[in-house]
Amino acid sequence: MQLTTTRHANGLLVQVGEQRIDAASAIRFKDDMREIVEQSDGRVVLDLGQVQFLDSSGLGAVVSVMKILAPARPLELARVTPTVARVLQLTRMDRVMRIHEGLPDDLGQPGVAA
Amino acid sequence: MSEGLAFCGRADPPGEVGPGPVLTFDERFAATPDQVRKGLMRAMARVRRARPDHDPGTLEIVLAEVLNNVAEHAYAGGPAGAVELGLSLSGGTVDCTVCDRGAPLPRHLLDPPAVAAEGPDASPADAGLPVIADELPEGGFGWQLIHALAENLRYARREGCNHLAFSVTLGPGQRG
Repeated sequence: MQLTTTRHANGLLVQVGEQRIDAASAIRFKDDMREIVEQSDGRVVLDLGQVQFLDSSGLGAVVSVMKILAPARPLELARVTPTVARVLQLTRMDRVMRIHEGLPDDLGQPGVAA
Repeated sequence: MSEGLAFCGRADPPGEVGPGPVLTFDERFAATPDQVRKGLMRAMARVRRARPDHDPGTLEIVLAEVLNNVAEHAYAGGPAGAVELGLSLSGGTVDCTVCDRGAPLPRHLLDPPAVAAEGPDASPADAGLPVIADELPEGGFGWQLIHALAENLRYARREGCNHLAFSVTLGPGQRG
């Protein structure tokens, strides 16, 4: 999976450079995210601005990342596109994780890309 | 790509020229996640071409869940079989059929999910309670999405084939 991480003062920004997180790629996404999570600490913001489609497998992978981070580290989503927003809303997952319309403005200064 | 009755015979004949519904898409492909993704994208491209002023987002969600369900469960324990996807456009509605030769679909999946006693908004987050992340499900969302978005969902088991039929209404306006 194409994942670009940038360490900011107040969180780790992970930009997903894929158009789909679906049954064909969900396991790979989950494994790659687990590695990123294990090598970092603090809040994680997942930038889904390029992700046009997320199915229930992709959602399950996002939830599993949230569970790995819990309870000390929050997982937040940013720049969710319309179809992805629909899936989050229908499954009520938009009530259990914070979703930002743009990038959160409290990420702080970026450091060196991780 | 369709070979007529060689795979799973259709109860209705495929679309014909004339007043009948136009069969926008009719393909068979392997029921694997990768081939499902590709088949789904081909189907969506066809629908977008036929209905450029509509939003096919909900159609894509339903088709992904139904096709992935076949890929994951229909042929479980054996080699991946095929799945056949047929789409017919009728105004702003897409009539869909998904057929496979795998294990029978468990009938309880066809029942809409039970509504929680507290009502449709029964989420701990709604009640102001802290959400315990450990207790969140990582699966089971698929049929929830199907039941929320598919209309007139019906199933038949005929001659070793599963036939799942449903309709999805395309949204108005094209999203960017």
